[in-house]
Amino acid sequence: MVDDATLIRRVLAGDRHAFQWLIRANERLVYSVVWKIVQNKQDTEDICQDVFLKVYQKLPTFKFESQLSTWIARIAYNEALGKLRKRDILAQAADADEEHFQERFVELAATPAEELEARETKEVLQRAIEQLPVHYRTLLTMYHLEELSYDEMTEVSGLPLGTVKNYLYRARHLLKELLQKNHALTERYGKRTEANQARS
Amino acid sequence: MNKKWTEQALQELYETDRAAFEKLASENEDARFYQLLFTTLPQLETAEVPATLAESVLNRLEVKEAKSNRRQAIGLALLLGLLVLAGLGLVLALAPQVLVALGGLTPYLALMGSSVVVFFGIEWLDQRVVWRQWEEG
Repeated sequence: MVDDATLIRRVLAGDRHAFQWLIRANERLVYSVVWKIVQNKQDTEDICQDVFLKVYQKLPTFKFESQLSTWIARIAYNEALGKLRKRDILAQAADADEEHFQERFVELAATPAEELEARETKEVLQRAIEQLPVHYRTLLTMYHLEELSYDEMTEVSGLPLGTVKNYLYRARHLLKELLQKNHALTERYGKRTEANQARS
Repeated sequence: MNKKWTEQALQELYETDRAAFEKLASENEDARFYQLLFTTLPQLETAEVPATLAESVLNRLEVKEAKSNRRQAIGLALLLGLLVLAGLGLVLALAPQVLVALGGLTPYLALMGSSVVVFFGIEWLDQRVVWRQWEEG
């Protein structure tokens, strides 16, 4: 395993294999962050390529104040948000207004119980996360899937620590509520089915 | 006595003391749903990174650098051309008799002109072939 300093030195010396190594080492994190923000395969691929080209271009300015992966993830985060802002998707997606997500969550939990029962917890969660505001779902992914620390999440998102904690708390709270509602509906449907079976 | 756990306290307990959280989850419903959430989240399907991402980036980087080199080369050629013209202008201004001497070259002007055109034509074709190879490749 090559350390960050050696890798950067080799990339700056024009070693393409070293740059390829750098991409391979960070592509999962970058792809995951960008995907959670834009939620579109083609856009994610294009943005990821742009991110690594930007990394190559900005690498001489890297000051070793954070881990290389965190610095790259921050570029990815800003690049993806920038693309959303450019297309005005951020505003249209009602990502800044929690009332909208609450409504969407209620809709999701209020789907017919028959349908809900058939759905796995994973599927319910996956769909619910897609409905979360962009910062919520991105921070959630960083913490629970990429296992980033609070400091790293602060560095990547550029948000204050308090905001990061608050967003993460609210995201988890919303998802837990949804799981509870989903469970209650499934149970109610289960009891109704049992009663119907006993009657017939 | 059963302690009343707030949502925030439950989340903090998960982050600070996993063992205590697991224990609590067996007796507290909110903690149980948080446990379900926290164990399910890492199992969610993640987006699959395309296998060719690194190659695509490197190809784009090559093209970008080749374009930049090409722009530099064109800039350099233009600068050289301007310097030659400026030099000629200076020579003609300081020593007009050179113009008379250059007049002897007039019969060869057509030959010189066509040589320059052929040279740049071949250069242009060569560049096109190289660029097509880059783009296809």
